[in-house]
Amino acid sequence: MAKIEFVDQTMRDGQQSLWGMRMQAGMALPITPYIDRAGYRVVDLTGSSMFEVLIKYCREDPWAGLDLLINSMPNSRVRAGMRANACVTFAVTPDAIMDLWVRRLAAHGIRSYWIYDVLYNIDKMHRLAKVAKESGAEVAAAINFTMSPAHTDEYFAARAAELSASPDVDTILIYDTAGSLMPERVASVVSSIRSGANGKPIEIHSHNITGLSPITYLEAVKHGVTILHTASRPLANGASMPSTEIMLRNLDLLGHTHSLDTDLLEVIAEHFTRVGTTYGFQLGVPNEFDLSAYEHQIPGGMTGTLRNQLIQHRMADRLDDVLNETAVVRKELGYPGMMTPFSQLVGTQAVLNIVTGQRYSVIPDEVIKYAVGHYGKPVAPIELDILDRISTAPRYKDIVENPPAQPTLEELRHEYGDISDDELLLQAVVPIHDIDRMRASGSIRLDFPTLSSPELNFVRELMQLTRAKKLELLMENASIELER
Amino acid sequence: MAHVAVVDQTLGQGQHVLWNDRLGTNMILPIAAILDRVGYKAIDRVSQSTFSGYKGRFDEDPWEELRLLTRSFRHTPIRASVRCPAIVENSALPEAVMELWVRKLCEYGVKSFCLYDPLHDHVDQIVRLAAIAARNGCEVVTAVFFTEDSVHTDSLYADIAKKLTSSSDISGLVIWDIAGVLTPMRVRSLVPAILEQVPKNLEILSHNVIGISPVTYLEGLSRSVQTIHSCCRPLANGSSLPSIEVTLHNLQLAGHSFEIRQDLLLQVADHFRKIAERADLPIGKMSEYDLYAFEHQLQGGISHFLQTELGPKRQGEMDKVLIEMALVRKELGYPPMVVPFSTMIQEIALSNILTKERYAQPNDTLLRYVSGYYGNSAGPIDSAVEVAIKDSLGRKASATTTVEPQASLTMLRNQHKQLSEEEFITRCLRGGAGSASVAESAVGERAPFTSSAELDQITSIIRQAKIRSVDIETGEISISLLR
Repeated sequence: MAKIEFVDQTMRDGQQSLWGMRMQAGMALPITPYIDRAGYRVVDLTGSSMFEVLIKYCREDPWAGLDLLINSMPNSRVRAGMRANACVTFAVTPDAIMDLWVRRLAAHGIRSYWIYDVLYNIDKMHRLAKVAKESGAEVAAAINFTMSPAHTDEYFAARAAELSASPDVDTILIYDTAGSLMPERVASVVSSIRSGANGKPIEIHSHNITGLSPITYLEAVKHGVTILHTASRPLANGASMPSTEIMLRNLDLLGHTHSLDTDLLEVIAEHFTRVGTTYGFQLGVPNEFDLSAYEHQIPGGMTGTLRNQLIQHRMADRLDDVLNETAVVRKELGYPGMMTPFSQLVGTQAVLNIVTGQRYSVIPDEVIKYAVGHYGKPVAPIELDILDRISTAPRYKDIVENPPAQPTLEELRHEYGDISDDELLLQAVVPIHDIDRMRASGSIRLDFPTLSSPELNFVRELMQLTRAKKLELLMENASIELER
Repeated sequence: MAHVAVVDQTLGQGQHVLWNDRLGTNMILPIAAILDRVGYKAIDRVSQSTFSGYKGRFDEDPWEELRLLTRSFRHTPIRASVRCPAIVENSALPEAVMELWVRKLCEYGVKSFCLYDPLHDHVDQIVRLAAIAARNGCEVVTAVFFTEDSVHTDSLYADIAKKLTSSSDISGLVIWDIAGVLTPMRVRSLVPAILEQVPKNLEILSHNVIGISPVTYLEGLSRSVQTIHSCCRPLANGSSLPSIEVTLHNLQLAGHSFEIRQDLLLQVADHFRKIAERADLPIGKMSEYDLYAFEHQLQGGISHFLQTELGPKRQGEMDKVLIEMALVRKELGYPPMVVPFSTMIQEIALSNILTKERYAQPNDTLLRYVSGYYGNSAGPIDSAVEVAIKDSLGRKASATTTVEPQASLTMLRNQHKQLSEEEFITRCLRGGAGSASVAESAVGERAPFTSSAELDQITSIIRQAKIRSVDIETGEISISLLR
């Protein structure tokens, strides 16, 4: 029987998958001291996309929020994640900026990183791992699970071997974005990754889109995975991961051990349930088993994005066609793993193919950049006639002649002017006017009162709306009088 | 790829497990004509519980319901799932009553029967009742109850299936997975093992307790199962069955074919969602994958009975009781967790834990069970436990456990000469509690809601307005009421 450890995804991928990254620091702060004592191996917390959303949509200073959260969890190893060659943008970010990210996150207290790149630019992943090690941080290198003729067990074993060859990589992370790692595929995938992992521990992260991820986890544990990514129940299931609660129950029954404090888990779940209910966020519920997860392998949130794109073109009824086209485009482009930026790149090309009615008549810059190798080497070769089509696109020549620049940090500092490195990073991910608006909205909001019942929400709305001097409210169990 | 048939359980198991049999006739009638055109192989509705049913429905006459429903179900056979023998207040109903019931159901238009015994024991009775149904032109299937334990092996199930389906009147077999623990993996060995012995039509009915039933269905269909059971979404999932919506979606993706009018299903789901809202009944919800289901094998996961019995203060002991249940079930030779065995096992487990002395207070059901009153248990009963129970049995009047000689219908009817056959049957199925109220039976034909919010408003205006003329204008309609 194994000792199982947990990476808490409640405040990172849990809320990324279910709350659209709208969880603000103040919503979590009342409960982070409990999370700190619950016994997680790692608490995953942030990434550059979350910085972007916090600035643009929540007008919250992400550095200030990060400091508050990390300081409230002095006993925890807090994690941040990144693509090896980009942050936020669908284009390529200079290495110097990526390195600066790792160093600044470390300066703010991050002590664990997960690094991914579905095209496996191993040199870049290793370079970042080395930078992370400067602060003694732990590094998880991700292998994105996806189904395609190119993604064989041997392929995964080879990537695991390359990644784990660096002494700066501590664990290998199996990352199942679309929840398509079937329980029966687990044995061979985990065994081959283990065979390449050089004895390093294996983590697993599976979006419970089919409802079968708990079984996938149990199978993975059977084959030697010891670190599970889960979320507190209100932020688990559906597009998110399995709940910590259900995994503990299942592991208990199988005789495995862990060192989580289950009493604290209840308090944590209660808190986030209240936050979700008060602020109108979706609470996670398990999905019905749906075979489409294996067909399209489209990440949780992306179907919604595709639908929105279609609505803009007044073609909402063509969603099924777009989903099928996505599978075809992915094959033609050499089966990139469906994670950022390739899920968006493949999805956008599929929408354009359907909307224009002529396949590849419009080709976005990102697809051209991918085809000419700006992101790295495709997993399988791009089909020749598609390559031909891409090479005749009007923007092709310009893009080939302008490969991504690699300015040094000095050059970047010069370019951005006399600002701090933290500010430089913000300006690198979002337009300056968004940062200005964020700053204008004042200091970080700490007070997010939660309401104990939906009725109270109703009362709050009434207080905001009504102009009358006196209000009487009668409900089944309560009567309320408001007077001003 | 299979051509798949679907048995609808919305009005049967779905409402039984989620709504505790509160689905009244008046809630079905408005949608009955649509249900009839969906293209189900059969619509399951009739059972002992729709006859005895929820207390609040005692004022409804099941025969009248049948008359009304068969009027609407012109294309789709209505199915009766009949336990043989029916168990009423822990006693088996005389076979003569069972025969009369089946005959009457045929007369009232039931076209399909699932005749079953959860202990797989009363084969002779099943065969005799099947003959009656078949003579009346009905389809007859029987069922094996799937449970996961050391005695219920593939070969045991194959033998049971062979024994149960030997009659040529029985055309098919339902694999009934009451606790939702039939895994896709097990299907791979179980279904071929059964098919080798039983070259008949196989159906799967799986309660989606831990969310894997849709996968189980797909695995079954790829191994020659032809029929699956499902419910419309608001009455699906959790302790109920997979939704027809997700099932059909998956069948399409897996390349199977079917003849179901998917366009009608939205209306059906809409109807039952509204009923749930108006009658304050729960909507089916998905549950997380929980290995505990394999321990207790309770239909519907965590038991409301135990929750109530333990009270709010002792919920902490729930896990202990569940584990004790698994042990008791093993000691009693692995009966399937259906009434009355599920209640029996929960009561024993509870008293074993709370009194600290195991099997100190055997109840009547347990005494009857160990003496073979309900039929033979699948596995051997633990000898130490049997001794403990028999000790207690010695002290009890032996009357409880004696199987009475089968009375003839004439003898039985002599005591109730004044009753019509229909009333007699209903009364037998309802036991003591329902006997008084059959006479006033009636059916409310109107659903407890109107089809739109506007109509609701109009209804209340009609009730309240005292003036002679009312004009109403909403977005799309204008209405004048005049008295």
